[in-house]
Amino acid sequence: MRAITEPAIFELGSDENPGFSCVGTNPSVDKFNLPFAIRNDEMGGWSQVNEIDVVRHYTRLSTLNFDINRGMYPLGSCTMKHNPLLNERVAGDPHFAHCHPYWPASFLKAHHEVMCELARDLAEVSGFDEISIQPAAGAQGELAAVFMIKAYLESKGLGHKKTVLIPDTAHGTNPASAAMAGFNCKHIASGPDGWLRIEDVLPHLDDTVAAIMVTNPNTLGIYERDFVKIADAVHNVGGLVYMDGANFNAIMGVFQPGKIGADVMHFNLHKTFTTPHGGGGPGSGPIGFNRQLSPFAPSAPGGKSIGRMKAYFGQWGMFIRAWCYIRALGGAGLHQASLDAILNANYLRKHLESALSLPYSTSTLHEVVFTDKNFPNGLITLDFAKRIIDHGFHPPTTYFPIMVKGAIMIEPTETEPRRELDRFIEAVRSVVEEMRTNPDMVKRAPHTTPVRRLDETRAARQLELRWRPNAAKA
Amino acid sequence: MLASVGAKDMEALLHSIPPEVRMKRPLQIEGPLPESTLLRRLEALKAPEPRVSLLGGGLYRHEIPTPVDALCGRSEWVTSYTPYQPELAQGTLMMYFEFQTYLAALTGQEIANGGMYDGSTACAEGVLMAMRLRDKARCVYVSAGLHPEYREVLDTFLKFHDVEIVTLPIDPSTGKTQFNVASDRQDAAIAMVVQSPNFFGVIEDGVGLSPTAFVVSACAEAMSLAVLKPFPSSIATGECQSFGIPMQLGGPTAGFFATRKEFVRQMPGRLVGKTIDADGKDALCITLATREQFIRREKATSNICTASGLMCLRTTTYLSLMGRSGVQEIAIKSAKAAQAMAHGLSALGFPIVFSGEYFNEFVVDFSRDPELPKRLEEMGFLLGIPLERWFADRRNQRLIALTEIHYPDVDRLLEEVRTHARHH
Repeated sequence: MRAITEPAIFELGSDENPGFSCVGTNPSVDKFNLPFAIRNDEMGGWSQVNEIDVVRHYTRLSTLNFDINRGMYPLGSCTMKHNPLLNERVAGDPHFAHCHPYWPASFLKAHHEVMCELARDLAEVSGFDEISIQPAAGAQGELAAVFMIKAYLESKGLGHKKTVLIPDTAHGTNPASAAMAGFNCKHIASGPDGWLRIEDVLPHLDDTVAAIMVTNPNTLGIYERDFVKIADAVHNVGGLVYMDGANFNAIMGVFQPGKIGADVMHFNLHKTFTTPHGGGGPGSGPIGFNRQLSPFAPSAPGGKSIGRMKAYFGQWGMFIRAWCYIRALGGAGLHQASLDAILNANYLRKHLESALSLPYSTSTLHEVVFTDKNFPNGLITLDFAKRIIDHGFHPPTTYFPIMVKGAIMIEPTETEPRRELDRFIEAVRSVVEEMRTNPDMVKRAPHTTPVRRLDETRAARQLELRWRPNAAKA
Repeated sequence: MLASVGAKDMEALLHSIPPEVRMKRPLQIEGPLPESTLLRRLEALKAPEPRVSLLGGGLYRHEIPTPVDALCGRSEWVTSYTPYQPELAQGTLMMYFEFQTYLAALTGQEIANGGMYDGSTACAEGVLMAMRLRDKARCVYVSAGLHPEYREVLDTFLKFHDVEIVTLPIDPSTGKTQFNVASDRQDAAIAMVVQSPNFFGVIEDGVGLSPTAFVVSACAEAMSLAVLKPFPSSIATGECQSFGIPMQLGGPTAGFFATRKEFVRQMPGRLVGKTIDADGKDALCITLATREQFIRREKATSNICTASGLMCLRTTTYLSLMGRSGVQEIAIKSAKAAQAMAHGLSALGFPIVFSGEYFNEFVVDFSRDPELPKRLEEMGFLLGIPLERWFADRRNQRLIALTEIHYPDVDRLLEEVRTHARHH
């Protein structure tokens, strides 16, 4: 059954309708004249919509989405775990929602306490000396980190160090952040078993190396076995080690990056610490770092700071959610969450390795990457992803990491119960079976969604980026 | 489950991690706390809230109508991911498409993207984009009326680039930026960065600004866009917080980023565009992703990935619910409340510092009774932001903002100020 689609809000409005009003009148104020002329242009067809139409519009639109509360969302490296509803309740408390950062500190006692405790918890779980909670999202945390590395090196008179080494398993944000700090990126191939070997790093190490950016566990879900050796070697040429914390969900209570050679790392509160992904944010990207980098941290006192990354304190609304999550679980609970995430991923791996193709036999932690190598009838990862939708699941991450051809990257997270994992296994097997018996059915999938496969090239060619009154009529 | 993966216990799952890197002790973190304990613990931390807050400075307490909270709290919005699989995300994609439409219309630009983290980072990204478009230029002129924290963020983003930043002062009597730089030097610059209304609340008129200069504008009070003509600019950036987003201590909010269509390939952030599906039906998807980090990597226009989806949703539902005339009414009531308050304070002997026109925020000089704000604070009445925080030469000056929330109460608020002020 195809669900109905919904027109843009602009097609539901009329200039005849009144606007929503939430204030009365006040003659003693209204008597003042405004010192400016009020704009009176059309504003692109924006008018007024009845409340019931607004409510229905956004309710209907929401039903066109797939969300975690509906079903499993096994996006590798995205850590789509359950977002506890308690956190939403707390963040919505007016005391925590309607607070201004420039209020005198005496009114922000709870807020400061929560931020301090969160920073302390993040330091404990990561093993770093200090935490800055300011960065707005993971990519901004990374950016703050590479800025700090740059500032640190320049303060030591090592401004000629301009090379940042990045393994081929890295997220795209790593090279993009490094480039924004003026570094040159040098890409290193992972070894034959899916982890970065010290012998593949050593040839790249020279006096120009500023840093290495390593995700650990990497985006294949594999622990970087040479991490300590690589960190030592990079340090020996005067470079620093950035650890990407995108996959931190695998390692809480397992190892502390700050104690095994990482100099700085970002957290994604919206991955590991259950703040919601919200259809593309907001995130929150605190960073942890060792003492030598402290003077360069965002807004650190002393004149050596990289400066501010974002106005105000950071993503307070995310801090309080993460604080709640951490306390609801406690130290032992966080460790158990990582272990359960690893168990769930290995359970899927075990039961799917005969149906899908496994590019590396190396053992994996919280996620696993398969490929489309064995798909029959010319079918590819894209077809698989679209057909799994018809079984009630969001597809896994596809075509990432980029060095795995036709990658299918699965991360179930710890919050999926075994019954749901079994249902997913069954669905994957039936899609692969169907590729043999009815390949056309797979090729044309999805069949149960509000829209079918899209012509994405056309979107880029035509470039319609806003609603227009005439386009609606045409 | 353990048996089926061939592990004898949970520890066996970690065999790939060498023992020497493993933690040897349990994590020292409070908990587990049951829900009731956790809520009580938070309750106990709370200090009394201020009774009245006339603070702005880029974050404004506007009313958030109930339907906004109710609609935006639906899990289909809250717990979904970035819409990379468009068949499963037409709701989120339509929201972004509407957001882009609203912000393009409000800023008077041709196109807008699907949001940035906030106003401060949007402004900095605007200047980075200007640098890509004008790669021969080496100088950025920045108005001293730019929010001090936006300026700090801009300085951070430009720190490792070979560019010169020149601050344009504001006129001490009008509060407007003095563009006292020759037109040809303005035209040759990377950008002229101007906030309007500026940090001091004054509406910039652009007198002295070269009409052919490349302008990156910032707007920290988006509510003003509903009634003021957009400041002419090549890139318009700003903060959406006033549109249905709680202040939340300054984050998360959402930034906006709008510009001309010809510059689209240099834009940062997500863009949602229209297309059709296999049946020829209208549909939406993320487009021009080849600008983005997950495809273009170090050659991307920005490193931004996760931005501020839920806050864009709040903005969009707010603008839809209020309607154009509703938002304009809010903007007008906010501005009138500010007029009434400013006149009242002035009459009490606390003059308005700048003569330039303002929207809903203005600077007041409390030199006549410098301890008054402190006395009011003790009674939970916060009378503006002390500017001394950033400007040592602005002792006793405070930045005061009002919104429609204060509109019914201006007389009462003024009466309270009068009661506690020392008499002339």
